Amino acid sequence: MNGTQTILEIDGISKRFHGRGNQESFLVLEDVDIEVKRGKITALIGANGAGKTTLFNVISGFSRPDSGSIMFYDERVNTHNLVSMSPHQIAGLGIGRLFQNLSVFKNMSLIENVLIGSGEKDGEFPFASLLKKSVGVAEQHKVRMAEDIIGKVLGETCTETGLDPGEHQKERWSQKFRFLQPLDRFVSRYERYGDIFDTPLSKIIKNDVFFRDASDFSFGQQRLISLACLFMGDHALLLLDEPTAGVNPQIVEKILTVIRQMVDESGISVFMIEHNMDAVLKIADHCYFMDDGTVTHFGSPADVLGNPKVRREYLGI
Amino acid sequence: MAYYLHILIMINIYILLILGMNLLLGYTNLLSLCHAAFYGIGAYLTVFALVKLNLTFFPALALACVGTMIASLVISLPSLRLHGDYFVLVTLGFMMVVFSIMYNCVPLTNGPYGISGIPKPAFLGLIKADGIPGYALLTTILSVGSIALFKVLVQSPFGRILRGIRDEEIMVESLGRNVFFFKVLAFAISAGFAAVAGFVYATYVTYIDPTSFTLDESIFILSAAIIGGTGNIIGSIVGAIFVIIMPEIIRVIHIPDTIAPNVRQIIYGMLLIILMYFRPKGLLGKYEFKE
Repeated sequence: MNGTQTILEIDGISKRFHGRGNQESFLVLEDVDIEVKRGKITALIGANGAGKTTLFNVISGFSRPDSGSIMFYDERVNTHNLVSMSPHQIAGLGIGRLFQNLSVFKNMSLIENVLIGSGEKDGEFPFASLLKKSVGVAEQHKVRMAEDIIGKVLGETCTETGLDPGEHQKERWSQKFRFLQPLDRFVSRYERYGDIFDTPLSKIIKNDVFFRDASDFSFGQQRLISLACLFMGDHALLLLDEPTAGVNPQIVEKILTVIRQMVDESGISVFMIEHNMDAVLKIADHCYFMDDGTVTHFGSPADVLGNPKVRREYLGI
Repeated sequence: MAYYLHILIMINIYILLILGMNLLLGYTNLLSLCHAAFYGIGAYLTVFALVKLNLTFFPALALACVGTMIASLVISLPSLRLHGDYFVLVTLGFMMVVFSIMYNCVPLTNGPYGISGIPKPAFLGLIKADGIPGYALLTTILSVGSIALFKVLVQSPFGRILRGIRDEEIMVESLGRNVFFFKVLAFAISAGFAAVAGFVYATYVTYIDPTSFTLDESIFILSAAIIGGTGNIIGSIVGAIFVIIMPEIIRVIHIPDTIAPNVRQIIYGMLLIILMYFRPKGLLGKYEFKE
């Protein structure tokens, strides 16, 4: 296989889930072969339970396959077999993942959610900022970068939270124990900034929205925040598990535009699971269809979605 | 005056203990029941450093801290790959093992008889024999210094990773960070804070025995951290002040000495129930513990 054109090559991957007690084991993935092209968007579609997320778990190291290999070709065309690697090692190669059901660090602020995605790991050792001055400079650089990415990815949407500041954090005690309300106000102010209150971070950033907890934002905005977190890292390949699930059409449009833009501008490769067929048709370059743990169809999105079997068994038309 | 300074010293000791617990509970989402074990190891190592090795203040403090942090690896390396209840049970087991060693290993710890006559090391001329004001100043310096260090720690990129682990461990792993490594570091640093508290306690009281470092003490530290609130610094300070001053308030309202400890337990228990119902984050906490 040509590593200059291919970034990820999944070859003969099988995975069996072993039942508990008297339950029978069942094959979730059976001899799956997929090739993800460099700088392209490859979509993976299929019914619920077809094994798509399990395949993503296998690629990102959260689950071990029973057989097969997954080769990742990095920028220097070095080859890495991901099967024997742990999740953080795989991520360290430049493979980022957007999870289907986890999206943001809810108790952390917007800016911290993006900063944590930085690929720059220097200064993450305890007390490194006391020992090395460069850590502070690197941190300032990261903050500027995060601000840019938030501007690009969330843009004007990040100010439209639809919530009063800290609304979700209003405590029951404020109704039950009204005499403690002055304390509540103090807590609210303190919590707003938490431990980053009056720190170099808060001095650099003037935008109040950046310090809002991620849980203050709507679900669609949280998906955008998690994308911004991924774009903060130095990734070569992104595994996106249903990036548009559960968000309104306006945000879907925004998410698709952002993904396409990042692929075109940065040359990132994307492998995404998606149930929104309009989205697949709009941005995917290649498409795989999975049925019952095996890949049955492959081609351009129009070809795959036009296939009678796919239309009948998946789309129900 | 000496009475108030004694209260201040105890608050400072508990600030150190609760900060360490907060790093685990509020920043890394790890519930540990062996914090008193590290408190005890720190105290006994202090005695070893001062009595057997005749070390001065800073070397003795460093030995207690580093020794306790290394001891924390004994439990963290095998247990931190476990999650939730399993991890809690392992820390409970460790607490019981350490207590048994402290209680039964007479040649090393003098067992239930304890060790008395612990010398007070000289620190910039502040500590003299029976010098409570000097000790109050020293413990205040240590606790303020620890708060400053804690602030640096949790505001740094390291603290950000810990908060990430607290919220979504899997996502942090998928961002290329070795979660296990960060948890081991957090556990060791937490043990280091407990060791400083052990150092201060041993040299202040000048007598230690295993009954000061029991499972009850671990639970007490944990409940103090929860009452004050976790996930920020102010909650730990409030927690320490609250649990030290509360028994003194009970003393003021003249509850007979025979039932005072039981009343104290009942009040703590009720407070925890009320707080968990109305304010799961604790009095001034940022983070609501999940498991």
